[in-house]
Amino acid sequence: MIELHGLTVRYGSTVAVDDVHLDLPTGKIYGLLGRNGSGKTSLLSALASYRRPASGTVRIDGADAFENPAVMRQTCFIRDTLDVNDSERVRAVLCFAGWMRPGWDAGYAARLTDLFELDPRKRISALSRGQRSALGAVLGLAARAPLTILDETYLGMDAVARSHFYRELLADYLARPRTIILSTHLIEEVADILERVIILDRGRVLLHEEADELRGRGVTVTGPAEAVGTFAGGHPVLGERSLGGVREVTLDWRPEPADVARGEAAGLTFGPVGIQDLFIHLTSASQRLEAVR
Amino acid sequence: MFDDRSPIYLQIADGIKNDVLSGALKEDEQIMSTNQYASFYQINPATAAKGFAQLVEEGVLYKRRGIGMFVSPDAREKLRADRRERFFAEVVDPMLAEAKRIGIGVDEIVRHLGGAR
Amino acid sequence: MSVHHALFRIYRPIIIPFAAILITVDLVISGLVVFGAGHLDFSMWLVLAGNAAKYWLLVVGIMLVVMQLRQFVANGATRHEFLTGAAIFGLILTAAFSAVVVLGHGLESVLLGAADRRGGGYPVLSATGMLSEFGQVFPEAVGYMTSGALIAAGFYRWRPRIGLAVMLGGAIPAGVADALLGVDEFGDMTALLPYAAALALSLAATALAAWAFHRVISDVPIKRTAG
Repeated sequence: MIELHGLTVRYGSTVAVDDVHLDLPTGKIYGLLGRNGSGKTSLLSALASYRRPASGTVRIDGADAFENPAVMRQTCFIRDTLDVNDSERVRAVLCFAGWMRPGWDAGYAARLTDLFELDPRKRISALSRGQRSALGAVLGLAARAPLTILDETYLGMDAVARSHFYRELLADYLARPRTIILSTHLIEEVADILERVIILDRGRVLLHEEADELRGRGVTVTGPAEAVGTFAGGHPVLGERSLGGVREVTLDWRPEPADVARGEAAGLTFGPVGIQDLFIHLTSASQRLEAVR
Repeated sequence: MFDDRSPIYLQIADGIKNDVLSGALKEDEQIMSTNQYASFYQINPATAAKGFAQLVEEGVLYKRRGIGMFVSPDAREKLRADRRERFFAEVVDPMLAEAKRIGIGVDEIVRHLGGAR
Repeated sequence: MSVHHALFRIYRPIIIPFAAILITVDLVISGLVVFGAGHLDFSMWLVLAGNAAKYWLLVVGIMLVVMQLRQFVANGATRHEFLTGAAIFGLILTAAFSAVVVLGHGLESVLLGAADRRGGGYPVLSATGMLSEFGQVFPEAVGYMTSGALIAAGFYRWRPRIGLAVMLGGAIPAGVADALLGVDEFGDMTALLPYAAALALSLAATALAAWAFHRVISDVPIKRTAG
C-alpha cells in the first residue's frame, strides 16, 4: 500500500500540493490527471523522494519513503528531463541503469530500444523530444521497479511510438504485475489500460476512482429548456449551454434506464460523456455549478 | 471496440452474452483468460476480471480453479429467457411509442410484420 | 553495484586519458627544457601533475554534485548512499593521485640524477622525502575535492546569491591546505606552522566543509534542470 498522508509540497510561498491524502493499493496501473500546474509532478517528486515534502508523509508498505534505501531501490521515477547527462550516449545511460537497478532486464531494454528505433550510439543531446521520451519509456519499463512512475513519458512521441509504448506497458504489466503510475494529458489514449484514475486540481485530489466507473458516469441531456431544467433538478451540473429554447446540460449522474425512458418521453435526448469530457468539465469549472432548475 | 457510453466491464459482459446467445460460444467452452482478454483488447486486466466476475455472478460463466472460466451449461437458455422477458418492454414498447408519435397504427405494423413472416 | 564501484566505472574512461596526456606533456616539456638549458632547475612534474591533480580533483568534486547526484538518485540510490559512495570514491581517488604525484616526482628525480641533468635548485627526492611529500599532497588533494563539492552543492541547492556565499565557505579547505601544506616546484613546503599543526588545521577545515556538504545534500531536492 502506498499511503500519502497530509502531503504538502511548497516552493517558497507557492503551495503546489496541498494536504493530499491518498491510499493507493499496490499492483495497479494508476492514471494521474490534472491540468498544467495542478501539482502532478510535485506530487510524484515527493512520492519518489526526489523532494522532501514540506509536511505530511509518504509511506510505502508501511515504511517511511524518504531516504529509505529499500524503498528507493524499488522506485523508478521517469520525468521529462530523464535525469541523465546530455553528453552521454544512449548506450551508456542504459548500461548505468543496468549497474544500479536490481531488476534491470538488459535484453528487454535492447528489444525496446529497437522497437522505438533508438540509436544506442547517439548522444542524449542529439535526441529529439520524442526519442528522449522513448528512452524514458525504455528506462522505466526495463527497470521492472515495483513502483514505476512515468511522468508524461510520451511528450513528442508520434502516434505509432505512443501506441507501442502503451502496448508494451500493458504487456509487461500483465507478465509482471507492479504498481505503475502514469501522469498524462492524453486521457483518451490511456484510459482503457488504467485501473484507477486520480484527478488533481490546484494541488488537491478532486477525484480518485476506478477508471471504468468514469465511463457513463456523466450524461448530457438536451431538449426544451424547461424540460431539461425539470429533469436535471437536484443532480450535480458540470456544464451547460443553450441556443434559443434548446438547452444542454452535462450532469455528473448516471441515469437509470427508467430515468432515460422518462426523459425521452418528455422529449429529451441523452448523450454519453467520455472520460476526457468528464475531466474537462470537472477541472474547468471555476466553481462547481449548483443544480439549477 | 468499446465506447464511452457505459463501463467497459458491462460492455465485455454484454459481448460475451451475445456470443453465448448466438452460439459463437458453446456450453462448457473455455473462454479467454483475464490476461489474454486484456492483452487482446488492450484494456486493464482488472476491468476484464470485473466483467467476468459479473458473468459468474449471473451464472453465465463458471470457474474451475486453476484452469479458467467456462460457459455454464444452461447459460444460453437462461439468457434467452431473460432477453425474451425484456424484449417487449425494451424493444416493442418503445417502437409502439414512436409509432404513435408519428401516427402509424398498430394495424399497419402488424401488416408490415406479416410480410416478414 | 555499489555507488563507489559505479563511480570508478564512470570515471575510468576519463582518468586514463587524463593521466596519459599529463605524462606526455610532462615528458615533452621536460625534454625540451633539458635539451635547451642542459639541466632542470625545478621539478616539472610537481608543476604539471601537482597542479593538474589539485584542480582536476576540484572539478571532480563539482561534477559529482552537478552530474552524478541525480543520476544515482534516479537509479534508485538514496542521497546518503550516494554521499557514502562519493566519499569512498573521493578518498581512494585523491590518495591515488597524490601517490602518482609523489612517485612521479621520485621517478623524475632518479632519472634526472642518472642522466646528471639536475640543476642546483632541483628538489631531490629521497625515500623518506616521498613519505612526507605524500603527507602534504594527500590532505591538500582531499581539501580541493571537498571544496569543489561544497561549492557546487551551494549552487545546486540555492539561488546564485546564496550559492556565492556558500562558495566563500567552500573555498576554505582548498585555501587552508594551499597555505599550510602547499608544495612548490622547488619541493619547498610552506612552513608557516609545524607540520602537525598545519595538518590538523587543514584536516579540520576539510572536515568542517565535508560536514556542511553533507548537510546541504542530505535532503536536497533533485533538480529538474537537464545538463
